[in-house]
Amino acid sequence: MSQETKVWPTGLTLGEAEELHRYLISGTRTFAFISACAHFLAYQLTPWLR
Amino acid sequence: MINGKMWLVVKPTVGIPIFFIAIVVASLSIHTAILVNTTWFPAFLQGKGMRATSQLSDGTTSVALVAPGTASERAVLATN
Repeated sequence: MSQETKVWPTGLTLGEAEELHRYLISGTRTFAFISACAHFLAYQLTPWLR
Repeated sequence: MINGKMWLVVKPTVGIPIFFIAIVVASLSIHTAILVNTTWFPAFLQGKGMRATSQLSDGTTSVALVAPGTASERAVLATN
């Protein structure tokens, strides 16, 4: 059995694990972008950090 | 992608909820701490914005204690 098709104890293959991780990173980046926009607005509209 | 192999040893049904819960706990605790320990954050949530503070002539900022609610809301409460 090759490393690519091997099913690991979590039930995933290497390709599936990498695909899942790509979605997780993508979601995290989207969340971070929206959060950064919200914090920029909070900085502009409140006395935060002044 | 770096670290992608972690899902070969951590079950996604366990790891992903832990990841999300950690984000929620960190975020809520920080925002609650700011809400409890500042005057401008509760005032901002009441719709006061920058009006919760005033800039003094020497460059320092004074934070005003702001009564909850808007003036019109307080007027309605006072008449009842």
